[in-house]
Amino acid sequence: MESLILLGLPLKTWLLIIIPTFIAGIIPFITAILINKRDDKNE
Amino acid sequence: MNKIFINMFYFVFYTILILWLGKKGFNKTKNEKDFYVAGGNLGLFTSVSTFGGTWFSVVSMLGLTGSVYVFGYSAILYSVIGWFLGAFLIVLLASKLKEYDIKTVPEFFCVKYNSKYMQITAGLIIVISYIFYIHIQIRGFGIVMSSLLDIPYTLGIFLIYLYIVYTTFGGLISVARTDIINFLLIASGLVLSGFLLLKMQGSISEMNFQISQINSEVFKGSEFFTEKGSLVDPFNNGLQPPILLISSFFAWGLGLAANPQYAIRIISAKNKKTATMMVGITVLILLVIYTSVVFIGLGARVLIPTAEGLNSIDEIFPYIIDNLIPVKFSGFILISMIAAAVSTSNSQLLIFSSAVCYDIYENISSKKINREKFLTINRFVVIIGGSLALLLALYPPKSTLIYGAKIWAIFASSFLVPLYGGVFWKKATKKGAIAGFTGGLITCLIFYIFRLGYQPVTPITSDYLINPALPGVAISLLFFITVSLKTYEGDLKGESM
Repeated sequence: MESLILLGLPLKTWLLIIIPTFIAGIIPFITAILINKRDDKNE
Repeated sequence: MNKIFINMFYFVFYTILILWLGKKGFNKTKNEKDFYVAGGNLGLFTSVSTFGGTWFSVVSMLGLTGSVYVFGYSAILYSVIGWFLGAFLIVLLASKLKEYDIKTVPEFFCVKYNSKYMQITAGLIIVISYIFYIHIQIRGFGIVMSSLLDIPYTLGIFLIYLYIVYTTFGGLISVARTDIINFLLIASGLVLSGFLLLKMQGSISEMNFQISQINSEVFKGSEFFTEKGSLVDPFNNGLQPPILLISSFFAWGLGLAANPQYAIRIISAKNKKTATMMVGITVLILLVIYTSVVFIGLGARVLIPTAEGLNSIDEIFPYIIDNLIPVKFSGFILISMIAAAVSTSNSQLLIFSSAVCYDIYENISSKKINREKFLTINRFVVIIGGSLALLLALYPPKSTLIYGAKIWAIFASSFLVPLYGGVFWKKATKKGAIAGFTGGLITCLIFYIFRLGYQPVTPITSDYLINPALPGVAISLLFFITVSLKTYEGDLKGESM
């Protein structure tokens, strides 16, 4: 079995699941802020 | 104290709360704009609650928890990442869609493309798809009720029928008000469950180590075994191959991005800023909730590697509560499950009603209907829709998560391209939209009818290896772009004449 890393999970699980999930979860919030800033500027 | 008595206490408490909140909304609803979109005036807090409450359904609560228990981390790749990417698209859509003065999503097609055909057909798709989706919410509730209150499944599903119909009667004002309490219950119930399960493991590292060692049958007598290391493998040691995961993104992610139950919350928000922030904030909260779901599913698998007496994935979470959660908390978590079922199905029933009355009936009927009478007809349709879903719930599917993906695939294949194309692409034409909408839908249906790409994945589930959403969206996009480019010049000339 491949070597386990951080918090008992294999590297590929971090790369394919954990990190993408957190990035995908934060992106809508950041996008919302950026869109609102752009709209405020245009007004 | 007796477990059933405690559960009953929570249940009665929740009932009183819902009755009170639902009635207030009923009194405030004066016209169809109030009924469908709460007058287009919801603030950020209410919008986040109703968006989150609608999002977090029985599919997330029972389907995902059970899938994590069975398939481990790969269940997240199959569903959650796609949902979040879909939410990103909704944020992009929000500020543009808010510019249209519409009451339903099918009405967007009529306003943008001047096509009653699209509005009526979109209404029909909603009617059929939502009935099948509401029935899985009813099923989930029935499982929970029969397990925790020790009542027959059929009585359990009848109880939720009453909840859904009651809360939908007051329109979106009622739905949104009850969703505040529902989303609060969902979030707190799941975070509490996740915390309790994680506490039993000692630490996250310990839990991950333990699940990587599991090598046992999933359900006793199912002859479906979990291989050592598969629960921490992104592809479940080949059981969930990349093509299944990628194509399911087309169903879950793009289906979510095009789903009227989310788009309608953009229309009901009081302004653009509220609409975009609603999605961003909700997804952040959901990130915390889904982390708890993972702790629940995996933690339970460590403690009970082989579940006894179960037949489907959806029965796992109630089983966990029954066997692992201390009695003093189980009633509270019970009502959070009820909240998940009620908050999604009442939103869908409302859209079902608007599709029947506003998008279909008003477009094919020549009669001018009194607006007060129109509201009464909407409420009558709510009863009919709820009753149909109740009847279907007597014949439930094996897994709500897989079943849900099949329904979302229909929205991805038909609604997605004309909706986003209409908002973001200047060269989108009526003929292009009709071609994309119809082509995507027919492709998806062909895959379902002839079972193309279908493959039983495990003895306890069955799924499409290539989800029909993938070819559906591809054909829809191809038709939409090709036909729009060919007809764009003609449309421009028509406009200038």
